[in-house]
Amino acid sequence: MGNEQLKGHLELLLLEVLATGPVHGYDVIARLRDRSAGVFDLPEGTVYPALHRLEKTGQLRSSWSMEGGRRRRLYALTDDGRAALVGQRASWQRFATGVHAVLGVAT
Amino acid sequence: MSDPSHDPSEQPRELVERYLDELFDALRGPARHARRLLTETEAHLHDAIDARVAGGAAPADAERAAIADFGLVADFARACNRVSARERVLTLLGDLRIPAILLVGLGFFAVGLSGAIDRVLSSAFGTQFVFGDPPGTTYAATDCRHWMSLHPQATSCAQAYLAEARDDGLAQRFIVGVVGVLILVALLWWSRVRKQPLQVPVAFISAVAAAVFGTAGVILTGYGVNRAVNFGSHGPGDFLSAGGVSALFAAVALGVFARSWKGGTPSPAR
Repeated sequence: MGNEQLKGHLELLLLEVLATGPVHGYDVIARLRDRSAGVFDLPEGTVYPALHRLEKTGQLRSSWSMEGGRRRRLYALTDDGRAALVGQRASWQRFATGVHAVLGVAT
Repeated sequence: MSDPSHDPSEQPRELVERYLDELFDALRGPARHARRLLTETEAHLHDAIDARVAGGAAPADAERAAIADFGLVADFARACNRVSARERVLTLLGDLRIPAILLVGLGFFAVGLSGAIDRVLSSAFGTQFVFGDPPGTTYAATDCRHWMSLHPQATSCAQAYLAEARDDGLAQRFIVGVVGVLILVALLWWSRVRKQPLQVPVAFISAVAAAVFGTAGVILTGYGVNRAVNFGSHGPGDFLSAGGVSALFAAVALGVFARSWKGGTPSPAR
């Protein structure tokens, strides 16, 4: 998948990964890679500005934690983030259904 | 730079160190933003290297690959700086909100005060002096009928217009002045409840106030003088009272500016 295509949906993917509980940046990327079976190949650094943006808009909150001798920033969804995730999921479903319909792909 | 995230037992990784140094140079914005990014990036890169080494890669190869996968310093810093710049703009707008409300409140209060002076001038020198139009001004017949119906005691359209201009002018200025007082009282109450110092230096606020009121004072007074020179007692009072009040507010703001400047304005808290 092209990086530009992925960037347009990065916030949805980040919210989805964080829906399971607090995660730090490296794990967010590892989970994205695992869940996409390696399809998503954005530069790993891309994820941090996106996480910070989501935090600034109140969809995430973060706190420091110490794991494995390293200080890490843990990100978690806020109530606003959960609501945004529900909305973005529905929006993506509509979009994907439309694209599939145009392409004649069975859903 | 001290590094709170670094494990003392961990060997320094030169490429990571160089990457972090370059990143530090490229980051803009608040120090806490840069520190947080450096800490997050460092932990991320070490995690990525460890994972590759655990997977069988040579340490040097793992380090190079982890950095390559993270992305170029310039790209990463640019994206982070954009988030930081947006934060700075939002913070600045938030900080300017209270001073802006204060200036609006003062402006409204000044309008109300000029209305009170208009009333005094009107009593002392006549309504014509304050609200009169230049000689020879003509009015539409429909307007005249409207004003005459509102002021049946008037013997001419010009008299009816003057009475209407006085009533409207004074009432509007009174209402604006009351709104200004309410804004200032609400602001005072809010500042006592919140007990938060202004995030913008008093010298800056007073300088802006002096500039705004000073400009208004010069323009309005100039207009009033021009009116007096060209049309005598036909309506210079309104402009002169507004110009005088603006000049007075500008003088007070200048005094506050001088005092805060001399006393050394503390830098706003970050």
